[in-house]
Amino acid sequence: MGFLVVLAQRTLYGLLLLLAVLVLNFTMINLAPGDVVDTIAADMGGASAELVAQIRAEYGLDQPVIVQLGNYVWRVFQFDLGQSYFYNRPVTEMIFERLPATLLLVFSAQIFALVVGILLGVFAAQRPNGILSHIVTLFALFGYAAPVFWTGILLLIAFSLKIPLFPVAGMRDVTVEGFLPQALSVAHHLVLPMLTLGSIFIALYSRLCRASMLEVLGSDYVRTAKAKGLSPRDVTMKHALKNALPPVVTLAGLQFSAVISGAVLVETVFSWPGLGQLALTSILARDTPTILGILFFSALVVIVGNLLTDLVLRLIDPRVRGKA
Amino acid sequence: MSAPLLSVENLRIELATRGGMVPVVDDLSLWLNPGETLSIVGESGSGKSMTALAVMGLLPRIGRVAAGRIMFEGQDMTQMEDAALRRIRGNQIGMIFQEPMTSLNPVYTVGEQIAEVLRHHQNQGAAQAWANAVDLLDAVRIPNAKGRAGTYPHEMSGGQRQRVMIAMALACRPKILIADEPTTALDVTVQAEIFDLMRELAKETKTATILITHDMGVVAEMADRVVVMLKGEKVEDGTVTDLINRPQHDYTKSLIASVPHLTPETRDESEVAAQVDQPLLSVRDLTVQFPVKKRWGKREMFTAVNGISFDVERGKTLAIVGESGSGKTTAALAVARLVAAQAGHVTLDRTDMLTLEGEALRQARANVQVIFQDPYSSLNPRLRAGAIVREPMDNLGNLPAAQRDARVAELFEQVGLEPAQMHLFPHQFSGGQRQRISIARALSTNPSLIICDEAVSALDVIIQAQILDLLKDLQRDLDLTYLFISHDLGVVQQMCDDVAVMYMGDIVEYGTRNAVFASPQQDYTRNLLAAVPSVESVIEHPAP
Repeated sequence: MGFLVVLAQRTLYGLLLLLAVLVLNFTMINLAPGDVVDTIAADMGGASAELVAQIRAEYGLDQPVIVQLGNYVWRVFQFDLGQSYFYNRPVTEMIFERLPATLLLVFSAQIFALVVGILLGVFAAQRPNGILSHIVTLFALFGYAAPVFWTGILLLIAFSLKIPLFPVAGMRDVTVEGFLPQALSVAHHLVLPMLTLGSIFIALYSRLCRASMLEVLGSDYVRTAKAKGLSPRDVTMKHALKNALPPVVTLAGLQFSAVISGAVLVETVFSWPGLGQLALTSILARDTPTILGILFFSALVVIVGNLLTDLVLRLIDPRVRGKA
Repeated sequence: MSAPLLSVENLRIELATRGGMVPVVDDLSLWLNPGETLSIVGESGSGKSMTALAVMGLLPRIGRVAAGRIMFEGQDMTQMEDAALRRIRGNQIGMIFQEPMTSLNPVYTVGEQIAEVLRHHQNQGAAQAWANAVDLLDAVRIPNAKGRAGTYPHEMSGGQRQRVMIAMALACRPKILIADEPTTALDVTVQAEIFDLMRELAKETKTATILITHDMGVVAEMADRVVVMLKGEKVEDGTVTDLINRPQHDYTKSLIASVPHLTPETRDESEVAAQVDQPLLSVRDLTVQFPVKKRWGKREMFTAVNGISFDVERGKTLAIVGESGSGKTTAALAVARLVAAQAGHVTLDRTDMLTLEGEALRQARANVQVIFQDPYSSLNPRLRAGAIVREPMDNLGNLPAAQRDARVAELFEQVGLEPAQMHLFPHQFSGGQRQRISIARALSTNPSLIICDEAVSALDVIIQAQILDLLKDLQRDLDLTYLFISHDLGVVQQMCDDVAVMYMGDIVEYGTRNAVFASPQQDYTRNLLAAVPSVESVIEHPAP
């Protein structure tokens, strides 16, 4: 089946999934007790029943839930996620301000975790019972088990305060100008958050890659590669690794949602100006349109991530290309 | 005679096991002259493959050469540095393996896998290596070699993949080609083609060949000299003509005896008279189709079984023979309702099998049981042998629960196992014993029809003979009826009363055993029979 056909098919599935997510999110938020009007009233130090009803009517919250849902879905299809109750700004605008920061963090952490995890896995599979293999496993499990905010704070203390290699917070140094210096500044700020977020996933990827490599190294075609007289490096990195990758890539695709929820915490620890911080404040303020908007974009990132995973798998394994 | 190209002297190979180092090859000496074909023959576990891997320096991690020398061009390969060994591997000595389906890397094109060897050993540039790879594919008779070089292994048949392996092994014009059971996984007609190709190429390139096999027929047709191995030791060696005509060791004799003689002995055909009863199994116009492609809801159907009809008398055996993809297994599984048939009628014991549904179908399964090919994967590794045999009775039998364990013990005895072995797990049995468990399981519900789906194909020839004897004894004692699916004409000839030959979903020839084997009517059957390796070519007939 052609590449474009698959792309079109997956995109269609993705859109349908997005619609389902939209409806589900909206319904679940409305099932929870309390709304923004309660928060406003609380901020005002209490309000009369008439005033509360008036505010509800203003926001359209007095209509039946099904009508609200219909209106919401219709507006989303016009790329309008509504007005934030709390910030009193268009939600789309706020999200687009912050989305690039989150995307940068999520994708760089994911790539970092994959590269390091795969290399560690390949290394550990060479001598599966060697002492170094066990050290790798232990190290990786530590990253997996440690709470992400704790890892983050520890890294901050170590590499920002004790040894001031990296900045404490934020995304860029506002004093630098020009494209390249700014990009370097962002990269500099990115290092610690990326390490923190990636450290959770290194363990997963390296463990799976190790298991997958061990299986592949015992296969007949690896024996064939050795019988050709190839060097150990060619046997491992060319013949074995490419066959060991598909399970790791598949897992990475499934982990996209976990990376995004991890990002919320990491952004808070490092004051990274992404969606995570916005999510936290809007949840506390019961700012439904903003929450829904963020959930919508999170779902979008997960779906796009999975689409990318599928495409990468097709690149790696020709046998997948034959199937729908 | 010139000096041998390769000589193995007093070789001892040991494997590390929980009980310490265990020898798998002991005191083995053999030599290979330039341009000749030496065959190493023996059953699995005889150490023949380990010997080949030791020559390549490819012993598994737990193995090592404990004593002896492997001399190649004046150098002892067991003492060589890994880098020096890698210059010989794939360059001076090429190797092809048993499993063409898994021996090629699935994620690289076949052209790349051949070109890689040329780039690595001969420092050829990418374009030149690719062009040479295409030439090699052409030499191993892959049609449209230029176009096929860019395809992946999964887009090729088993025979074609083995041709690619041969092209790869011969790419650098090695002095020695080691072929480890190169055709065991292939159909008999494909085997004949591969052997033709190997003979021709070896002659052309003056490559000496070490051919590892378990089949004396193959030895007779391919080799100049032969070494017979048993349990890691050489029991006998010599030229093929000497060894086959004057075997000294009993083991060699039994190997020669296991080669099928497809010239049938004359039997009186009393079976014709007895056909008064309705046949136990009657199949009419059975058709099985599979959807192969689904594209936006459109389905294309592949017809695996194309309206076939046959009968099996009670207490008799019908063999369905054919090559892989002929539909023989699909047809049998459709009879057992394990795959769905699209059309036709299957009447077993006066029951219309294809119309049964739900509980009636479930109960009918007691009457038809299957023995599968691979005794290693068809038994649940987490269940004890006794539980495996008991399970069908728990599900289907009308035997009271209290009597079932006694029945299991009885079945174990019937198939030649000890009842005490009920408590062991499948991995604690040998391949032959596992197949006995499968047989006991199949017998447990007292079925009237047993389908043997390549039931002995995965076993060594001598074990194979034992299992076939057991099946015949059980048939006689219990009045069993077999539907015997096999690609092995030698086995079929020993087992069956009637034969149906299948080709591409159709039965192309159907008749009594003698009729089909003695005077095949169809070209396809004749080719199939001719492709079976036999020892006839080297048997010396005394002058009259």
